[in-house]
Amino acid sequence: MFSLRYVARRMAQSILVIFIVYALTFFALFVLPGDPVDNKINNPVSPLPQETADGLRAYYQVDQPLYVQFFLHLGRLLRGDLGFSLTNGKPVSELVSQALAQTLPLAGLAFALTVLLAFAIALTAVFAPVAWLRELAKAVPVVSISTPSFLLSYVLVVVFSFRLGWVSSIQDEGFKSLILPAITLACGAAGALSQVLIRGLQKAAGEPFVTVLVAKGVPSSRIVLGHVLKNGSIPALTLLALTVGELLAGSVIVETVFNRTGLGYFTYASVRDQDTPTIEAIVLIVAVVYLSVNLVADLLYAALDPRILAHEAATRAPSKRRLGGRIKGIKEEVAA
Amino acid sequence: MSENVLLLNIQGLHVAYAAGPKATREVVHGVSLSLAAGETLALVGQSGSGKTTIARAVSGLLPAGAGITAGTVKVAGHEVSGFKPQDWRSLRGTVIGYVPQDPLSSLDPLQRIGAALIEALKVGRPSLGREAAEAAAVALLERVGIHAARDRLRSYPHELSGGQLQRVLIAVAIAAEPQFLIADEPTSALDVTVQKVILDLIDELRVERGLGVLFITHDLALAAERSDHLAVLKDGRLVEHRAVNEVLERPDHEYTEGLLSHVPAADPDKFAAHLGLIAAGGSAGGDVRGDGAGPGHAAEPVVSVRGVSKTFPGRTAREEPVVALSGVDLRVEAGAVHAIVGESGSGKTTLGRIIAGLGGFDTGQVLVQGRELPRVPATRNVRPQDLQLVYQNSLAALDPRLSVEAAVAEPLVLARRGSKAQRAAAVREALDAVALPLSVLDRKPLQLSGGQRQRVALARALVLAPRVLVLDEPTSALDVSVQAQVIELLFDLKAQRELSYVVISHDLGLVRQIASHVSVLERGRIVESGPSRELFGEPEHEYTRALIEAVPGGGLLATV
Repeated sequence: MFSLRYVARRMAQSILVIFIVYALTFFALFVLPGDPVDNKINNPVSPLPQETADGLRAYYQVDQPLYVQFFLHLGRLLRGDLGFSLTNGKPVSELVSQALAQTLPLAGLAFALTVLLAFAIALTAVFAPVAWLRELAKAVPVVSISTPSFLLSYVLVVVFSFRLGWVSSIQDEGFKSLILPAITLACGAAGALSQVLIRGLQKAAGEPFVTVLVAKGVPSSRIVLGHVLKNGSIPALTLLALTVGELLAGSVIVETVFNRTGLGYFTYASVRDQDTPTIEAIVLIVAVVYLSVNLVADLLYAALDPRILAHEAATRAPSKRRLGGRIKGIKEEVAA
Repeated sequence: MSENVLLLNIQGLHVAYAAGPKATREVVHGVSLSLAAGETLALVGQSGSGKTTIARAVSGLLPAGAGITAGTVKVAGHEVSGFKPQDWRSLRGTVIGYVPQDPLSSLDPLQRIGAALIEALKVGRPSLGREAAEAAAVALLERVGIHAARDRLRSYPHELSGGQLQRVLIAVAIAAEPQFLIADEPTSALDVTVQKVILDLIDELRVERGLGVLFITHDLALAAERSDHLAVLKDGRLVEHRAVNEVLERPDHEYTEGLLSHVPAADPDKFAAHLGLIAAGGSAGGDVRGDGAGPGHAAEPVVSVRGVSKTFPGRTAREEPVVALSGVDLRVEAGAVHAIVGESGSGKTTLGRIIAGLGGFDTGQVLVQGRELPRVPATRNVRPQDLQLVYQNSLAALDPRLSVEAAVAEPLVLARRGSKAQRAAAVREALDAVALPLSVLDRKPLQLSGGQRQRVALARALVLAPRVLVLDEPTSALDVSVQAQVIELLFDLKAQRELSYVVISHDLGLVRQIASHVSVLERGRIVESGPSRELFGEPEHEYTRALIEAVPGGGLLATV
């Protein structure tokens, strides 16, 4: 299995990336003239009562220079304090957890459906016994990719909420309300994933080792499920990681149509209201989500394919040697 | 021979591939063959002869769209020509064992060796328990000559060498105790000394278990050495099917005769006169200063390598660095055909790349036509007219999107030579020199045959009129008759253009035929070097002797 050193190195890298993303967002928001926090609070249309506004101004120390504010934010962040929203004065962490509580079950269900759908399409497209079924399955991803999600969600709402009345389009009915948006999200995400899977499975099915497996008398179901599927789905892992990120952070349209207030809607609202602390928190969450799913995917790669580690070691070794050589060279120079 | 001892009895077999919605293309036209227990039948032919198709038809491995259209095939008494895919399973592993061509890609890369073996064992004995299966797997690995067999069960395929993988694949093939083996070019991806060991192993198993062996190969010399009966195929038809010694003594068919004459090992002196002539002609011509035949001649060599070493860093942090070359000296005289021979990993390709200015080296000196090469190669070849490299796989060496004309003209364009019209003329001249018709000008590499492609690669190398060509396994991807044509062409060009060749090859049969000088590389060191005649006549180093002994068919065919 992978070494702890490798995991530690990747974690350190991720933390660095998160810091950079956070810093970039912070300074980008301050590029506009004036202090964004102060501007927002002082806005005449701001709904905040005077005392809340004063409290926020004191909390964010808007009279301090930029870098002081940055370290103030950073210090608070490290203590787990995400600050307070500028639109309603509530703690950002509370707002974020509300949004996540809406998003996580939906994203989880959508993810499960995506994987199921993608494998079903890909397996049919590559291994279905009749040619017309294979061709049909191969066409599905294209249709799925080129169907906009608002269209599909609109159709689903019209049919299942308005015509059949199975699910309310307004009220939150728990799990039942998740089904339609999850289907919409899964249909969109499964398209690209199944295309990559189809290519992976086709390639794996054409490898010479499959001929050997057939020749040694292994049943074809075992060849497909035990060998081809494993070999053929590894390339789809990267895309799967990106899909997880997208499902968690990028579902504004679907949330709007189905009247949910998840992370996507929350992002939209806070950007619209220029709610700086909230935007920062969201950027942070999205960065953490993407980086951690990518890390998990890379570790999975190494766990699934023994060749990756050998390769990883091989590509790392020379650079270390080069560096060692350089240091030695410098030492020699100094000595001379 | 009575019907029941025949493991394989093919009568009037026709096989066709689907070639469009309703059309089919027949590739095997009425072939009849038989194979008895304990015998080896070699199925010999060039690419496209149908040998692999027959092997696949009798083992139920034909690709989708291909099928037996006429004839009967009996495998150990079972009539299989009407078999559906699922019917084959009762014969797989237990009646037919299959040894594939390319060991490196023939095992699931994600499956441990032990699991692959146990999977095969369970085909024969589904009720086998885990411990018994492991013990049987260890016994199988030990039988095929894998050391530390128990530890190897947990290895992945990428941790083993090609030879070891082929041993594992043979173990897989015999795991369910089949009655005969189909070996489809089982050693074409392996070194010649490893080839010998693997074929010895198959022979031992044949005797020990009374196996029949259907041995598919393009190498007539190998087939002659390793089989009892020969079946020679040409364009899907059987031209010969008799006992080996009969075929060798009196080939029935002129095609077989032609094939036999094209085997380099059968005619080692084919170009001797030519090589000698060039030596004489060189001194007479005055332009070529070396005479090729005389080692230690005072004339300046075209390529001179002195004390060159090259070390690659280890593949993993823990692995030791690999010494590819250490203290290599090489002197290629003008007009010589200097062969660098060795097995994979011996450093011969590294040396070839260094001479061609493509690879760097750590210590030593390399001179090409008197010009010293930098230790770190320049990104761009500054003097392409000195020396050119012809790569072994012409399909990989030619841009698939460039037409032949564009590919051959490219060196001229890069060197900013001539006007457009002059370049077009030069391309035509180069194609003419390699005996290609002008009709290929617009074709893409995939629309050419292997031999034509190698000629295009040669034309591209020649268009700048270099004096030295480095030929990296120039014919290893070609059929023996095409190989013979390309070799003849190389000698014609050599005479016309006073070229010198550095040939990198693992094929000692070919080297003996074409080289004037030979340097033998073993693990990065030159162990022996000298004129070809002397080296083959009285090899001094044991490694050279081992290489020469492993050349198939040398002794057998020399008597023809």
